Amino acid sequence: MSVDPVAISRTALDVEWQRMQFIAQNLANENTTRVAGGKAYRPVSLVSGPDQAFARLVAEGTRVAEPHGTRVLGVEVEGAGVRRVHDPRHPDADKDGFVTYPDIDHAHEMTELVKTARIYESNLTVMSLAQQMAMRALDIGRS
Amino acid sequence: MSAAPLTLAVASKALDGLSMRMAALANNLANAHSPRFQAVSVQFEDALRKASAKGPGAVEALQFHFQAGRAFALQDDRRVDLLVADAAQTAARYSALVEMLGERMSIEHAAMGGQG
Repeated sequence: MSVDPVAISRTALDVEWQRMQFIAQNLANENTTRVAGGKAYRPVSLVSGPDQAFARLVAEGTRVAEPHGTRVLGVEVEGAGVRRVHDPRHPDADKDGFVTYPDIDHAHEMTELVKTARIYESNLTVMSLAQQMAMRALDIGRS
Repeated sequence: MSAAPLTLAVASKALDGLSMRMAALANNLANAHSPRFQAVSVQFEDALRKASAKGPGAVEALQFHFQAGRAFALQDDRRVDLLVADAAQTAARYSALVEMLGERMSIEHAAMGGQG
């Protein structure tokens, strides 16, 4: 057996940490009118999935593959919607006097934030439980 | 055949099974944010019970595998709390087994004339 629960929880801590950075970036850019290059900011979210290579699934045949935790699969744009505000004195206003802001779904970002923090914490809990188990194994035969 | 006593064989296999289950639970929790995820589980109690009726040799020959658990669809909610509870229970059972093994070994130690 070569599956380490502590290593598995560690992959999840990494992924959730990165997800948290994307959420923070979306919230921080709620009032950003343009990014480098002149375009409007697009909210992004992180996509993660189980860390299982297809080759390994084939190699192991019909048996269920050994678990290897999770990994980042990529980044996707959450939505291309924009919020247009009439503000002719803004330096980024267009010729009709409208400023374009990204349409960030505040409630969605906040629920994702709470969910991510919860999952991060519970992974930490399981990690410390697994660590305790490993330490207990060292007590075998000690009297 | 130099089989260990049945108690020790069963206990050490149970420790194997429990630590595999811990890995499965850690994996299911690590994938709490993965859309469309196939959970894994480890069921070893029944196999261990059947093998222990046949003697220590059968117990030592046992091999446990990861099994396919529940398949989650895109919008299914994940019960993170239940996963943590299962992990805590697994760790507690592991601890209890280690404790029992320690007791058993100190009894043998005493029988061999050692002190404590």
